[in-house]
Amino acid sequence: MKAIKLTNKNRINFISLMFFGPALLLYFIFTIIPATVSLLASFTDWDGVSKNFNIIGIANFIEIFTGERFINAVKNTSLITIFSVVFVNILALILAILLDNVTKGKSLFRSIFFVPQVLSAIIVSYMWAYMLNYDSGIFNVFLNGIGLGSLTQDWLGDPRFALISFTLILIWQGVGFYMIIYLATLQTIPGELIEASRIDGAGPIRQFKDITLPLIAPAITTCVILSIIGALNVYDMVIALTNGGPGFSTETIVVTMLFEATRTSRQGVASAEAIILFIATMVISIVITGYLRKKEVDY
Amino acid sequence: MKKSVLLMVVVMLFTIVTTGCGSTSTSQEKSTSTVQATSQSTTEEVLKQAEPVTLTLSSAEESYPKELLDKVSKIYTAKNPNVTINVDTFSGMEQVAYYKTKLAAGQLPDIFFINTLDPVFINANAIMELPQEVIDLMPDSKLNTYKGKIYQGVNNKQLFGVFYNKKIFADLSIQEPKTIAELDAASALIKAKNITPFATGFKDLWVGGMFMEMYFNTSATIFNTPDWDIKRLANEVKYDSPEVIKGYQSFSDFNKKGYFGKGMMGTSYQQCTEKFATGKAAMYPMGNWVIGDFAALKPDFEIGWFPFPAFEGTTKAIKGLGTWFVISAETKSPKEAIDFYKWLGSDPEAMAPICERMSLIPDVNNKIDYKADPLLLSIISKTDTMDSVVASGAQVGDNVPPPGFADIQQKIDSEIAAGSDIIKSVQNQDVEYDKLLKLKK
Repeated sequence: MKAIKLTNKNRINFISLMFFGPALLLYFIFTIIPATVSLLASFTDWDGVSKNFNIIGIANFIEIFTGERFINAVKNTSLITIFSVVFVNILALILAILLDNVTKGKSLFRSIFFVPQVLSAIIVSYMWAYMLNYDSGIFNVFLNGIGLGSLTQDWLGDPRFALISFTLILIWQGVGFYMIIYLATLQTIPGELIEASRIDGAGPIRQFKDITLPLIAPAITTCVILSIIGALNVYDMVIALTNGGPGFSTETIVVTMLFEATRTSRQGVASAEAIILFIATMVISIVITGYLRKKEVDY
Repeated sequence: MKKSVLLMVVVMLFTIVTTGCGSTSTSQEKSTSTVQATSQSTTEEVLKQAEPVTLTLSSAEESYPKELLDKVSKIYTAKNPNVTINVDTFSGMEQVAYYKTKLAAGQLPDIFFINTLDPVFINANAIMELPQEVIDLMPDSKLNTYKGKIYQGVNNKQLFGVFYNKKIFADLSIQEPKTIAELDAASALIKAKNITPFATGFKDLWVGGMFMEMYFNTSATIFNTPDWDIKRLANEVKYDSPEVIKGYQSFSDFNKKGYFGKGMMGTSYQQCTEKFATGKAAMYPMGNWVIGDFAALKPDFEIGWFPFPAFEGTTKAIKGLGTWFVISAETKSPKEAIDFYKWLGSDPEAMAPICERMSLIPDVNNKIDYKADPLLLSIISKTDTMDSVVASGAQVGDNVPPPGFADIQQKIDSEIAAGSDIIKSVQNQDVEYDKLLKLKK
């Protein structure tokens, strides 16, 4: 038998494997295998617990796409995603630009804006639930106090306002995180470029459009993708704030998915919804990334 | 030398990472080993002493608080020193989801409480069929038959009605309403004085949902057709029917008149209870268990109770069947688990502190003497002479609604409470019910 010569290259590969092997193993056990099981379960009527199940083909997928509840969840999730992604990124960029130009107290303001991101989703939800309470919440108390009692609403209990209230809270919580990314990127823009454009007579808007925006395009790509993925998968804040209500007005795809898994014991349907969400997230991410990458430049 | 050090570091890292994957004993298990009864005596009696066993008793904190379960467990273990009982309570998670997770992880407690036994546990052979000796002590358990077998005891009953502020009623010269029309008139008088007539809310869906279902719906349907829920299972009746719509319409009309307060959708059970107990609402539709919460809040007025009135005809007492704990089929100590279960569910020593603390109405063969709240005693005496019906959605065993339907119904109820079209909502209820009914079969 021919002995394997331990060349430097073999040694390096072996040591590399020893380093990333455990992580790869854990990833395989806790991500790949469950995802594969979920994919297989989506074609069955498995209840998530029993050893017995039947293969039912694409019946789960047909039921999902013809069910009013899932369509409603898709609508809610889409609205939350579109509005939160657009506004969180615009606000984060504006804050980053303002903060970039602040000379004193930059760290303080950066911390203040980042605090909501540090708080857990549950704490944020309970805090806002109290603030938006119709009877004793600070918003309505303030409105009553300044003589605008006619504007008081049940912000989380009225279907007309629940979804938008939730989306605004999501934006509030996320803006600090993306602001940090934009701020860091802004600080990498060479000052000479800005100086040169100023000498050439470019105003602030022209500078932003032709220099700043193209150079922070990679950060925009990153932030947009991250915020899309976060919004599509939102769950904990929905449960804590509104439980998907009133009625089904704030129910998202993940909420319906977990309802099927835990309350009706239809793991097959829940897995099918998870697969649909995964494919949708992947497709949206690829399309958006492809589009935004074309906008990136290097000067 | 450098390479061998590097290899050693890698192996150590690998060891650390994989160690985290192993199961760890819980502090409860650790505490078990320290309190397990042992004996060094060599007398014949001790040689015959039973082997030490450990049982886990579990419940949601809001169903049976840990301090109560600890208290009754101590009473039992004092008489049965070979038995150690670990009490596990949880909050913030729905019961079925919690125990399904435990089942999937192979950690189902020996005895646990679940309001309505989900068929998934039975289909997975995870729950022990109750022996006759248990059923004989809790005869109403026979109502909880699932495909000919009984898995969960029924040892108490719940009564649902309307608690009211006697002072407000007296000041406005309002008598206990006997019909919906009288309830409407009373509510109008109360609202005219800028007091919210009813404390209710949909932040905790079951609060408002219970009000809507067990009051308006029960009154409109089940008072006249006591087996309406059973007929729905057999598809003989539908939610999209005049009597159900009448019940929902009546709720909706009360809501439009402002009888529930504008912030109802965001009001939780705790807030509703506080609203009533502090005099901000005049009436509180709720079950008898809330009496325990009143005692803690110490309202400065006398509380009365009346049964929810009928639309027409005779008012009946609306009751729920008080389900009890279940025994895991995976328990390592079945005999001890059954003995403890029997004691917990029917022995006066166990039932007395439980009924006292939770304001339960015991329904077992043994006589249970306990210090019942005078308000609870007045409710029992009022309803003892009345005909009773099981509330809408409160059937058990084979007659329980399809799994998951109760949640959907509560969501649809909150939709109606938020102003959605009632006809569309009841049609949606039928669609969801029929979809889930296929699972039940």
